[in-house]
Amino acid sequence: MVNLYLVVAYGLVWAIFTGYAWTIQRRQDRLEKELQELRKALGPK
Amino acid sequence: MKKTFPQTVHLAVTLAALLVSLYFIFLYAPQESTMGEVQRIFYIHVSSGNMAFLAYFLTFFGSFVYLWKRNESADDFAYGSAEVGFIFCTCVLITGPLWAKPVWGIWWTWDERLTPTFFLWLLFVGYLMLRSYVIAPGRAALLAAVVSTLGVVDVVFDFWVIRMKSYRGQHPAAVMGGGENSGLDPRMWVAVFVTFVACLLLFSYLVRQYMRVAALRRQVARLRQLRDSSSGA
Repeated sequence: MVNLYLVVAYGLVWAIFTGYAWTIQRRQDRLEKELQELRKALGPK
Repeated sequence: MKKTFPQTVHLAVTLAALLVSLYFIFLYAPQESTMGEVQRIFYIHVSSGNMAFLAYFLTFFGSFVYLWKRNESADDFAYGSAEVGFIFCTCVLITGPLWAKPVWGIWWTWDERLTPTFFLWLLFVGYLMLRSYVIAPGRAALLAAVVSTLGVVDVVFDFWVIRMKSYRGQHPAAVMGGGENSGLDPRMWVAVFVTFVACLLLFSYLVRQYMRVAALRRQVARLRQLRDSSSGA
C-alpha cells in the first residue's frame, strides 16, 4: 500500500521546486522584455 | 571566449538526475525493516539538509569575496545561494515532520537537533529580508555577511550536535560518524549518493538561474539610468 506521508513529502518537494523554478523563469522573462524595450527606446549606439 | 556549461544541457542533466534519483529511492533502495515505506523520506530529507548547509557556506564565501574584491557576481552568488538554500531548508522542515509523525507519533519537538534547523531557516528568512529592505548595496552586503557568519556557526552546531555522545534527543543518530548504531545498507548508500548528486545539480542550476536574473536586473538599471540621463539632457 502507498504511504500517504511519503507521497505528500515528495509531492510537496517537487511542487515547491517547480514553483520556484517557474518564478525565476518569470523574473527572467520580465527583465528580458524590459531590456529589449529599453534598447529599442535608446536606439542603436 | 569564456566557455560555460550551456543552460539547456544543465537543465536536461538536472532533470535526468532527479528522475534517476527517484528510481534509486523508490525501486533500488530496500525497504527499511522497522519504519517501512515512510523511511524513504530520509533520502530527500537528508539531501535537502545537506544543500541547506552547503548554501550557508557558499553564502558566507560569496559575501566575503564581495566585501574583499567588490565583485558583483560574488554578491549575486551569495544571494542566490541563500535564496535556493532557503527553499531546501523549507523542504527539510516539511519532510522532517512528515517522517516524524508516523514514526515518533509527533510532528515536531524542540530538541537540540530540530531547534537549530528551525533557527537556520529563520536566518535564511532574516538574510533575504535584510537584502530586500536595506537599499545601500555596500551596507546590505556587510550586514548579509554578518548574518551568513551566524548561519555557518549554526550549521556547524547543527551538524555536530547529534554526533555528540551526550545527545539524547528525538532525532535519529547520524548515518555518517554517528556511532555504533549508525550506518546504512550499501544499496541505501547508493540511493543517498545519487539523490545528493541530483540535489547538487538542482542547487547549481537554480543558483545559476538566479545569477542570470541579477545580471539582467543590473543591465536594466544601467539602461534606465542612461535613458533618464539622455532624456534629461
